[in-house]
Amino acid sequence: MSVADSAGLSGWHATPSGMERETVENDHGRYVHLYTFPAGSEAEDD
Amino acid sequence: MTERRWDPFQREWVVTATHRQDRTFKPPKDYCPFCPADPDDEVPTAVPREEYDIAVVENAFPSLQPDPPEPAVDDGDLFRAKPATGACEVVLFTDDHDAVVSELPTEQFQRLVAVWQDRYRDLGADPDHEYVYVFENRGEEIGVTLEHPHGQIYAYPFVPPRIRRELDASRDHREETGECLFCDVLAAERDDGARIVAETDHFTAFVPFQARYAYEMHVYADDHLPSLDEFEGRHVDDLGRMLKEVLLRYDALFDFELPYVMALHQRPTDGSGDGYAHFHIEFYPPHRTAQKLKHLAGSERGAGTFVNNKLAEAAAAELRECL
Repeated sequence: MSVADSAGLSGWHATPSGMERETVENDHGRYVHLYTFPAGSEAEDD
Repeated sequence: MTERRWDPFQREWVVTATHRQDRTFKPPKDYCPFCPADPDDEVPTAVPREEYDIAVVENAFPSLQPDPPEPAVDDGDLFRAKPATGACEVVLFTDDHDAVVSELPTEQFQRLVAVWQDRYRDLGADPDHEYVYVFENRGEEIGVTLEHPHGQIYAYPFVPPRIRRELDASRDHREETGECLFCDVLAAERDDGARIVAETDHFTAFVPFQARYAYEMHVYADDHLPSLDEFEGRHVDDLGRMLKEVLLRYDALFDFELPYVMALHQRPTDGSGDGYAHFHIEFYPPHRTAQKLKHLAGSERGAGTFVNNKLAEAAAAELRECL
């Protein structure tokens, strides 16, 4: 057993994994993709 | 100033990015451009949130740009020069500046793989991007100047030469045998077993037969998956598990966070690679012992021939036994 076992788009984007991407512009004028994840959708940590 | 110039001898592009001379170099201890925003910061960080899970920021000092300037010189027959079109992003693995990456929960690795998949699809959809290259430079020995745990993505307007060569080899192998070279090499490694380091449900980690670095390790998808785009949820989750295991083993090897370059190789986004591209990750740690580094010197830089100081089979045994 394993030991341990585009730019310029604003708003929210749902991805197939249920993860969501919010794209904003930072104070330096560059885009930032902020990813959020549904709770409990991934494997439990060991 | 960014541009790309053609090397007619090596038949590869060289990117010139003069503005990178001015990029952030070891900022003061009390300021990190990749940490969450603090209302008291005099200089805002790159992430305008007080916390985040994983963030991807446009590189402030990009080698490749969506709207690059014209080259500094005219484009000629022998001296070819083109705009350095593309994109460069920084992937922030966590908002915790002091996190030891191998100690992050498995869930965070799985999230990271899902983000890579999204970036591959998103950047790869742009016709200017022929190859989406996900990588991580880890450790001062590799040249990392910002401590916050992060990786990078370059979307190139061409398929980079090292990746082009291995894809050409796999295409030729397929034409000769009808099989994927990566699938055949993985099957041979598994049959032999001497260089296998770790196995999960869908991925295998091994020190390659032809390792260039003492503790080089490759992680192959067991199934013939050309790219992150073909990953299902079980592959995303399982690669997260494998990544954590690889990093735990590397950090246990000499009992410190082992520096490395991590390179994701997969199908180009220019439409090529069908049947012969195969997703895998290559790790190149510069350490050949706890105290000694492998320097790329005369044979490697001048002749292109690596001299490895360690047998791959011995390195694999150490990596198997270090946990």
